[in-house]
Amino acid sequence: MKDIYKKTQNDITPKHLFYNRRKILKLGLALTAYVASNGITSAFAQEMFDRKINTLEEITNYNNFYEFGIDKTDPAKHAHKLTISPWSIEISGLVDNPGIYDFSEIVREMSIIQRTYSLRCVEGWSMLIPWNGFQLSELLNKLGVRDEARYVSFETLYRPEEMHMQETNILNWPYREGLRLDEAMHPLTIMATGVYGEPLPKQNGAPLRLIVPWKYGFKSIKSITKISLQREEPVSSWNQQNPAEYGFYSNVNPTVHHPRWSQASERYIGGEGEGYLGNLFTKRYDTKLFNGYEEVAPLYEGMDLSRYY
Amino acid sequence: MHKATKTLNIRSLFDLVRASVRRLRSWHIYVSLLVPLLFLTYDLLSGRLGVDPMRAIEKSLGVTAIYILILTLCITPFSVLTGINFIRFRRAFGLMSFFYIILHFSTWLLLDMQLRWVEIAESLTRKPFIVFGMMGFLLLIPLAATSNNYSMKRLGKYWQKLHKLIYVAIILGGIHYLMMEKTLQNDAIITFIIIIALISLRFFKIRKINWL
Repeated sequence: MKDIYKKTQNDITPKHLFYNRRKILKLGLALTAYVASNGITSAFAQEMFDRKINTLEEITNYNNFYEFGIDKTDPAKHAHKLTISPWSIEISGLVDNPGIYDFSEIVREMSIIQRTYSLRCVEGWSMLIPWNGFQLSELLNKLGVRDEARYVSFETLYRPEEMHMQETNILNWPYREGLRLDEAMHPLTIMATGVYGEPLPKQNGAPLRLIVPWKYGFKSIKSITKISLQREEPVSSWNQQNPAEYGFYSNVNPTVHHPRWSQASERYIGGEGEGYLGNLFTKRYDTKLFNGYEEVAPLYEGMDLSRYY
Repeated sequence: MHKATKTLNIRSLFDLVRASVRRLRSWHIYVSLLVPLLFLTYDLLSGRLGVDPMRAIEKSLGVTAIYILILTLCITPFSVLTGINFIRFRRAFGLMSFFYIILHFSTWLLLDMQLRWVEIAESLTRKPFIVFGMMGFLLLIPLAATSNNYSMKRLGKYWQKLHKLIYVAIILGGIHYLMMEKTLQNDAIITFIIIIALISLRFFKIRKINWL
């Protein structure tokens, strides 16, 4: 038993408990106990679960989704305009079963799992979020990836009537991201369809988003409408906007310098204490290579990570 | 006839303003410029600062500082244009802006960077947006230190020259604000335009508006 992030529904505390901070501390202990009982002694796992899991309120009121505004409170304010039903996903490129699929049609086929991951934003903050969704590898296997495919590219919905920032040129819309095929097939890479066992809130990228926990948050593209398997390295929006600051890989790496934010440490959003004043002190933790998910290291063997940042 | 009455009314209105400004004391300015801090404290205690109050406080203190500095720059042209002498309050505005900058810097050092000196040193040397902000802050230290009657007398004509540094400092502050986020923000762009416009005013000879 190595994968501490895989949990069954039984290991998940009922949702109402998450709204109560005092109980979250208990949950933290329970998780630590769970980790201990499974014989996992990795320092990272311990430290990770010493932090409390962020509340739904924190997760849904503090995030980046530039389609709805630049401020981290904008997604919660404006995402209600987004229509998520019907939602179709166009799958194209080097796959055996290309086509336009309905979101529910895809989800029905997948085995839903629960993963609590640390989300490390390139801006130097992080949260601990209990996602539910499915492994991207399961979807890719069902689609039948052709041998020539090397990369997966993703696109967010483009609908300026509902996403007002798409009328500006702060980014080259639609938002695009990509992964190398082996990164996409890694068991840690998931497509999230929910948080805390509930469907994904619109501001967090409903109905379907990527989660790659060892990369900076912006790689985890939201509200996906297009997936394509291809031979060439895909375009990624932030890389296009500022290639010196955001590379294609964007693996969490405390040793790769960023001109704006310190990557050596991260502030843990939500704070250590209780109430509003408890939120004020957001303790800094040392940032770990690959956000602590060391099992992905073999993917980058022999690569100069300061060059391929 | 009608026009004359109108002019007269505006004149008497300004006389009224002039009279009340004459009654204003510096401490009125110091106290009123504490109001933003009061609001911020209230917002913090009532939970209005959201999920990450630290970032909200840090930003609000910085923005308040830069806007008080902008008001400081407005004082001379405003006084010349209207003939209402506000210049004796310039010190209060300047020092209060510096007070907010100290709070902004302390928030960064204590609550944001949490005294992690290695990262602080890295930020101060390798992160342009922090370097600009810090340079602006450093430039304002001698200005704040000489914002008293004794230094004005001591420095004589050099005092005026020294205090021209405010233009450099506020431009640095404006750049600091512009570079803060991943992309340019409207608020920072507008602030920068205001700063440039106010500094450009110095290149024009402004006179009192006659009909006032």
